[in-house]
Amino acid sequence: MSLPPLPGQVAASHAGAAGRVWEWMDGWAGLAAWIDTDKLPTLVAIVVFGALMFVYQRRAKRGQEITIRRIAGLDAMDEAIGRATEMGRPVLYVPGIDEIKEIQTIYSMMILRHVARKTAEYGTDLIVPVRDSIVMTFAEEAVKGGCLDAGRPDAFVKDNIRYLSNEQFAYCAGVAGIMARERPAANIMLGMFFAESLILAETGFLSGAIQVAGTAKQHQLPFFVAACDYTIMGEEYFAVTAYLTREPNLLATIRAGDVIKIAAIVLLVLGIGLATVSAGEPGIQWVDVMRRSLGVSAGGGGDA
Amino acid sequence: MKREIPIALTVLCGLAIVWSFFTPSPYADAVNSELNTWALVFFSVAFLLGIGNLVRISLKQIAAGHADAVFKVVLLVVLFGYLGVGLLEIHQQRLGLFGSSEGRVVGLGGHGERALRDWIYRKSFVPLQATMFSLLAFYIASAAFRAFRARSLESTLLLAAGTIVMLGQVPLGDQLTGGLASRALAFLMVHVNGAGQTAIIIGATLGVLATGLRIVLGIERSYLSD
Repeated sequence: MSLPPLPGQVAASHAGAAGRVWEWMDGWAGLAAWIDTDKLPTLVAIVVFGALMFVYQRRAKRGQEITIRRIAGLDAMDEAIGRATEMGRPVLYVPGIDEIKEIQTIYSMMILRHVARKTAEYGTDLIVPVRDSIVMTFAEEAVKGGCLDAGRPDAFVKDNIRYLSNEQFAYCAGVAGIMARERPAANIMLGMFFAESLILAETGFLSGAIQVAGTAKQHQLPFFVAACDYTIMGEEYFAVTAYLTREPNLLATIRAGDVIKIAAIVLLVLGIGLATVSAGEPGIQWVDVMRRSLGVSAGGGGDA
Repeated sequence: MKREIPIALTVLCGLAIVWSFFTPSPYADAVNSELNTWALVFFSVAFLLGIGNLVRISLKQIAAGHADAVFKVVLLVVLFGYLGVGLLEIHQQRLGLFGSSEGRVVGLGGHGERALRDWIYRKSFVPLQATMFSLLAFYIASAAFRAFRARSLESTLLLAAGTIVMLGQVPLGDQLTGGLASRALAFLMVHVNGAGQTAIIIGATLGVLATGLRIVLGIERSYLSD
């Protein structure tokens, strides 16, 4: 069997201005064979983001305080668990229906550990129905870890991590059955949801439970907003562990994200402005408008 | 070491996947493909863990005379019954127990390699799934009824937007408003809803990026057990 060619032997496609710059660099150092030029902007964004993350981590470790705005949905999680404790009923945690390779599911497992710590501290049952068997093993470890964090390893009940079915609506029916029969006082639904989101949220509402839901899947957010008491949406979802632990390393990533967002807003406004200025002139690109405003002639042709 | 080895594996595999995304090298593709194959093997093996969990909890509840015991019995009968049908059909294919007709295997439920399994699936599971999905129609109505109450400025805006969208979706709405409803619907969906969704997507993407970097670089470790 012949081996694939070495990276240096692979021809890379070059398109656009970034491609021309890259061709020059390739001629200089042969780097284009190592990196797909079409994905260069993504790579640059990740490197910048990573660099910012490390800068803010160092600052946080030196004692610089990083504040994070209040997120009502996250504060409500403690309230929901407290309410369940007072009522002597369990807490239901639904980690979405996607596999563990989905980042929202991994993140849901991290949040589950915090929820498990709280329920163990309060001595409340925590039921976690899952759709995927690998998620089940992660959920077991997360709940076990949470109970250990609370100093209550005995609070871990293995039978409360329940594999129901890997079929979407069979799983949905199983969770709805738990809501109707075991009547948890608090339903926490965090993760990746699809068409089952409203069925779960509405069944939970009808059972009278306090409901906190969160997802970064924008198509399911309206359903949660309509049927749940609190909704954690989009970027808030990925700030949960930083918010709950206030760990400097995690807060630093939130700050780095904020800086990137500010840069994105500036670029968007600049782009809108340039696109608006060039809108009345067909064939004129924003680059030409920028050149004109900076007084730079394009390829010796001068201003049009 | 119980934590260090999984973290090291996560970092190595994560960086390999990231590398394969950015590089045109066929070596990276080969590594990516190999890792994906390993993941598939893990998923298949882990499926047995799920069945084990389901059976263990169901048997415990049946033995304890739990209120749900009858449902658990049905669950186990269906689970092992369907598994039995599948195994029997595979077995008959290999041995030709039921013979063959016009080059096709005769299954327990007729012609075809998996006739009975397909028949059970189509006649029981598909309608049950459709029933669950169709419940959405009623749940959307009840959720919308609650959400569209004009109790505050925000909910009033939601009510107004919802009314415009509903009118714009049906021919009657256009008839009543002289085509204004569908134009207002297009404006709301493209400029207002689209802008809101884009903002959520940008925020969520940055969150995904931050979380991915935290995991790949080993900063976030709370998903691992102690």
